This record gives sequence, C-alpha cells and structure tokens, in this order.
Amino acid sequence: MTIRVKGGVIYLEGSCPVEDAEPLLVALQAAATPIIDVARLERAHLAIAQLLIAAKPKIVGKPEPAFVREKLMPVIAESI
Amino acid sequence: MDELLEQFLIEGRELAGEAHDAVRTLQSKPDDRSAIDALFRALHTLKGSVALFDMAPAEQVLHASEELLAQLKKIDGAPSGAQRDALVAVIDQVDRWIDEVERSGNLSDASTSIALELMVSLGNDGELEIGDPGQGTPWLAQLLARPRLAASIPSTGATAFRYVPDADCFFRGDDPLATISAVPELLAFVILPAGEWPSLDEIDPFQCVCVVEGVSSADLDAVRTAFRLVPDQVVLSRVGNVGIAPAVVQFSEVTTVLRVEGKKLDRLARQAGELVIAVHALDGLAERTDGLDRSLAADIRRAQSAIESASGALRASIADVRLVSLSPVLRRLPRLAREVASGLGKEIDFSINGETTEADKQIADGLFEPLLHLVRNAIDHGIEAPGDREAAGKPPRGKVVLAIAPSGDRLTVTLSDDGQGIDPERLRRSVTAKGLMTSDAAAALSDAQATRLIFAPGFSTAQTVTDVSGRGIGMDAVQMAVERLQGSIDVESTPGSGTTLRISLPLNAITTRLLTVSAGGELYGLRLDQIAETLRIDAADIHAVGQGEACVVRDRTVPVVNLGQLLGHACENSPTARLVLTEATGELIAVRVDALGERLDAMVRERTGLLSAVPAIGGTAVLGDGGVLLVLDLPELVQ
Repeated sequence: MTIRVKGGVIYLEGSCPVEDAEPLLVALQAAATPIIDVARLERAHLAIAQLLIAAKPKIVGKPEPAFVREKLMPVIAESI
Repeated sequence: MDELLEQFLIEGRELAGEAHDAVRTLQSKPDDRSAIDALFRALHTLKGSVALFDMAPAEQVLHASEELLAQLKKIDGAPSGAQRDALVAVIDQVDRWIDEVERSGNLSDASTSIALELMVSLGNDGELEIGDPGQGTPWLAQLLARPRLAASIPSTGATAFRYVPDADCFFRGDDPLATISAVPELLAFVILPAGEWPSLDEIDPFQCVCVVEGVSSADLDAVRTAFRLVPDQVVLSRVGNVGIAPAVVQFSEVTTVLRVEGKKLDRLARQAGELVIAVHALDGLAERTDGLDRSLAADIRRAQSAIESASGALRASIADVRLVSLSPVLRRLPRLAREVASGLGKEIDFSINGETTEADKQIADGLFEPLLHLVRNAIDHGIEAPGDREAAGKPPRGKVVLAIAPSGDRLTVTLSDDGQGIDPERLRRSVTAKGLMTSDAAAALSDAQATRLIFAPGFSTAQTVTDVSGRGIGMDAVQMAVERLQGSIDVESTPGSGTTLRISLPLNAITTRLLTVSAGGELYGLRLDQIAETLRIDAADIHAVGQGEACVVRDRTVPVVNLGQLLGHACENSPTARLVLTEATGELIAVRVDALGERLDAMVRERTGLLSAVPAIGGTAVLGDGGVLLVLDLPELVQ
C-alpha cells in the first residue's frame, strides 16, 4: 500500500499505481481539508495526478525523483 | 514594433508570395512535382510562422491545405482546378490576415467563419485533424497561450504535443504520465481537464478525465516515437522559430545577407551623388591654374580624373546595391486584382511577366501605388461584365497582363487588358460637357490626344461611379507619381478590344542627366529624358500662327514656345533659333532657348520649401562651382 493516512495527513509513498486511485479518493472524500505529503513519492499514475488536481488538497513535501519534483508537482500545484 | 512580428510580416508575405508562385506554376503544369513540393514547403513554414501569433484561423486553414497537399503527394496526384482555386483563396486570405495583424495585432471575429468556409472549399469538413481528439479546436494556438508551455520554448524551436488519452485507457493498463515522462528532452507539460474537472463526488477514479499538453526540444520524429503506442491519441507540431527559415549556408561559399534600412541606402546614394558633383569643382580650379602654372593645372586634372573614376565606381556599386527585384512590390497585386474583380462581379485572369526584373529601390518603392490604381482601373473601367463580354463574342473571363522588362537604362512597364477600350468620341463629349474644353477644341484633338484626356485632372469616364476606382480621379495622380519617378506614361486603346498603358521609368534614379540651357540671361537645367532632340534653325523659319508661333520639323508643324518668355524674361531675337524638342506631353513641342549648354550628371533634389509652390520647377541641382541650378519640368512648363 503506497497510500497511508496518519494524523489527518495523506502520505503518498513510492510508486503510486492506478489501483491507488480508489483509496486516495476515499481518503480525500473523508478529509475536510485534505493535506497530502508527497516527500517520499517516486512515481504517480495519471489517475492519481488527476485526482489531486480535482480535489485541490494542500500539498507538502518535496519528492526526490526529478520528473516528479520538477515537472509533475509544479503542474499539480499550479492547477490547484 | 516587436522584432519578431516585424520579421514575420516580411517573411510571412514572402512565403505567401512563394506559395502563389508555386500555384501559378501548377496552373500551367498541374502535375509539376517540384511546384507541389515548393507549395507544401511554403505553406508548412507559413503555418509554423502564424502559430507564433494570435492567428489560429490562419493556422487552421494552412493546416488543412497542407493536409490536402500531403494526400496528393502520397498518391502522386495533382490538384484539380477547384483545389487550385481554393489554395489561391487560402493564400490570399492568409496574406490579408497578415495585413490585419500588422494593423491591429490580431484577427477579427469574422476570421473563424472565413476559415471554416475556406476549409470547406479545400474539401475539408472543418475538422482540424483527422483523428484529432481536440474536436476541431486550433490546439496549437491554445497550447502556445499557456504561459508554462510558451515560456519554456527555446529560440531554436520545439515540438509541441497534445495527448488526449481515451477515457477508458486506465483499464487497458495505459499510464499516460509514464508515456509523458519518456518524451525525450521534455521541457514542460500541463494537465488539463478534458471537459470540466468533476467534483470528488462525481469523479470515477478509473476513468481518464484529462488531457496532457507539452513541449519538448527534441525533433518531431523523436517525440512521435515516444507516443508510438498511442498514435491516434496525440497530435504534434513544430513551434518556435520554424517559421523563420534558416539561412541557407553553403559551406563552400558563405553568403551573408544583410537587411539594411532603406533610408540609410538613400543617404549613401545621395552622398555619393554629391561627391560626383563636388569633384566638378576641380574643373574650375584647373582652368584658373592654367594661366598661372600649366604643370600644376595638369596635375590637378590628373588628380581630378582619378577621383572621378573612383567616385564613378563607388556610384556604380551603390546603384547596384540599390537594385532590388520588383517581385516583393508586385506580389500583392494579383490578390488585390482578384478582390477588385470579385467585388465588381467580373471574372479576370491577371498575370505578371518579368516581375523579377531589378530596378532602383526608389523606383520599386514608388511603383506599387500607381500600378495598383492602373490595375483597378483596367478591371473597373476596362474589363466588361461576363455577360457583356460574351455578347461581344469574347470569352467571359477578361485578361489583364502586366509585363515588366528592362530596355537599355529604362524600365518598361506595360499593363494591357482585353476590355472595352477607350472610346475617344465619348471622351470628347465628356470633356465638352464638363466645360473643360470647347467642342471645337475637343473635335480638333486626334484620337490619340483624346485618349490621353484620361490623364486630365479630375476627369472621369465611368458612366457610373464605383467605389473601386472612384470618379476617375487618380489617373492624373498616376501620371504625377510616374513623373515624380522621372518616368512617362502613355496610353493606347482600340475601342472594343482593349487598352494598353505603357510606363517608362529609369532603372537607376540616383543621378539625372541634364542639359543646361540659358534663357533670359539665366542658366537652367532640362532633363535629358524629357528632350526628344535639340536643333538650330533659322529664326526666320519660325512663323506666327494664330496667337503663337510654329516651325516645321521634318514636314511636321511644331508649336514653338519661348522659354525666356514663359519664365517672364525679356525676349531675345538672334537670327539663329536654338530649339529643344520635347514630347513629354504626348505631342511634339519646340522650346526656344538662348543657348544650349553642357550635358551633365547631377543629383536632382525634389523641390522643397518655397520652390514646391512653383509648378514648372522640377527640382534643384548643385553645380560644380557650388551654384544652384534650377531644373525645369518641361511638360509642366509648356502645358
């Protein structure tokens, strides 16, 4: 499981496949003001990315891999 | 003006011109492969150029044209007549849009519907791309409007893509983001909602509801390879500086082309001309020295001759630099001619021969306006409506031909049409009715002279006034414009079968050949191109005729006017009369002068300031001794 919810924060960790979309959606729906920590995110499926854009959560953390950090996260942050 | 836009205005029009040239070749040789290739290249590059500006409809129609040509190329086919017409309409419209962007920076609201009409005429149903999931929207323009993407495009250009994954692609195991991350040299991308972003309550987490657009600095093929598994879900295009054609560099012989502001060249030419004249000052110096020291005078003459030959070479080089092809000036005429014709419900074939002829920049610049007016007139007043033409036994399409050819040091521009011609009788009636001439005077005009009445100020021949060439004002303006370029214009017409206008212009306009004459004790310059010949006759052979005088030159009676008298000086009555014959007004007139002087090349400056109010003065020239010579305008003077 690459999705973990702890203390009201949704952690995305490692490589998040399409299957994570459903639990992520559930977690997003459950939180009043969702906070996503992406510090340990390595890869995300487009299904995850589009959920993040649609849900407009607060995003914290800087992922390691260059593509996620420099290309994907700014796009998501900008769309929110 | 923005430098990029400025560059685009020049190159966009050049590309439109190239595309027209190719279509013209295809009109005579429909399956000319190299013309199809040239057309494809021009339209493709133009498409890249318009994408940089707010010109989405232009991009759309160019894309559709390119598609049409690509299909033809695939099957080795040739465009049909209707397809060629449609392509001409596309190029004309893009040319018009370039004008619009120059004027207002963007395209009017009407352009979208114009684009759709053009696409229908191209046989395209209005969809931008076959298989394009963008639903016919001009995706590239929208993509370029996204700051993140636009800002990342380097000056060397980029490949733009729009990837619209199928809604159910996640089920098939596709991960579009993985595909995007594999795009080589990815610069930036954005994730956009396919429609509106659904709310969390409505969203299906396993359905793709977004679109990805991005840019890469890799070339088109490399980016296409990254999308090889989803070719039907992506559209690609080069953007950035692709419209600015790379300079053709031949390593064996590198040619550098500079664009120089015309004004700088004008100044250089003027200064070189002044140098030529300044050298004349040495003439007088050598003469004065002659009496004192013959060997010093000889040295001065040698130095003078060396400077003269160097300044002559300099002038020739500058004249050569100033020679420009007329084609950029004439490029817009065919489109404007078609517009005029369709506005009047007439059908024409307009062709230009010799448009690559080179002439001095000043001539090239000054030629467009008068030619445009002549072409308008030919279509408006010359070419008949299709029905009238058929009734007269002519083909319904009228022919208007513009031919340009150098002849010696002159440029001959001929505009002929196969229209109704000019009826001299109607002109005589018209000029009398307007009270511009008595009926006797009008009747005394030869047919050729009567035909020239079209150049009379304020003269109109159209039965109905049209908004195209107005009330005929302008033919006199055309004549003035041509004369300002030191040219002359003539008209020949055969009623019922057509009219030919012939303009003769100098190829080089830097210095003017002058003949100095004296009259009433003053020295004047006359332009050699306005002089048919000079001759001396016995003053007794000049006879009084009516109010004036005349003499006989080779069995022709020629009116004689006295230059001194015309200019308000006392009349000289020497037994030998020196005459300057001019034909500049269409008929031969002899101008009597006191003495004929020397011939010289001089820079004639257009009359300015106070002198501009004096009609008979064509300009001024500075003489070798620093004195100013008044250059007379013979046609204006004797009229």
